[in-house]
Amino acid sequence: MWQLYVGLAIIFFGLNDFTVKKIKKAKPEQILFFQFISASFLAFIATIIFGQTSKINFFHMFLGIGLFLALMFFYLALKLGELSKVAPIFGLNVIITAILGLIFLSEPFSAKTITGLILGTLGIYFLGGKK
Amino acid sequence: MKKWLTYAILGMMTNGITLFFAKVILSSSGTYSLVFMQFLGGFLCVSAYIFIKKIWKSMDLKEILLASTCGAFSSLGVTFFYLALNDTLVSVVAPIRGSGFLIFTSLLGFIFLKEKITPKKLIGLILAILAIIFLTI
Repeated sequence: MWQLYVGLAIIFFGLNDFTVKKIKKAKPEQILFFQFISASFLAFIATIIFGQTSKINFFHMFLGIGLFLALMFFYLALKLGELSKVAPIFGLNVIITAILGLIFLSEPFSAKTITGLILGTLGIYFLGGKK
Repeated sequence: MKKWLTYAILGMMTNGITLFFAKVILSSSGTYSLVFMQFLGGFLCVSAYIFIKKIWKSMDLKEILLASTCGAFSSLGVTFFYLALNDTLVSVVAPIRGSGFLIFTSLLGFIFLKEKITPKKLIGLILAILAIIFLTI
């Protein structure tokens, strides 16, 4: 089942990126402002529908700080550098997450996982490049 | 170090660490309530930033709608990603998301924006597909 979830996540992240490129005039902060409003609204509806209102924990808002900082740093980097250089570096964030999972959550790692990680890192680097 | 590189590395580190903490929190929290709280937190941060820096200019209705659509897509993307994280290891899901995301956006670029498939990008696509195969089998 997780394969379906991650596939859908990829599709929606891709559509998000594609739509952001259509916005030419607005400042990054303004895009984030409206993006976060509609995302919060949708997630709130889902929280009600799936009966998770009792699980709301206000401390989890601290994760939003991370999300905001990550996207702001990404936009600031884009302002000063080229997309073809910034995107592959930013894309490596998932490798950091994977390595943290292997170290701190003691997730089992096999030769297959390590090979996948290395190939994924190289793939991100090549796909993000200019030529 | 160049300024853009510092920002890109900071962005990479912040996002990577945030996703790791999301995985840790998910074991004792609801997926949907976590997504809601995360975006609400992000909304409060960006509102404070705009208020403090006093940066606001009028925006086209079309761009407001596009930005709101982005919000819907990112909300769905994060929700499905967290559902996947709930089901399996973060060391498997995270690299698949990274590679898969670039494959998908590259395909959208090739199809709709008529971007060229260069040899370097083709190698990247093949490597990313191989990575997904290794991580899922």
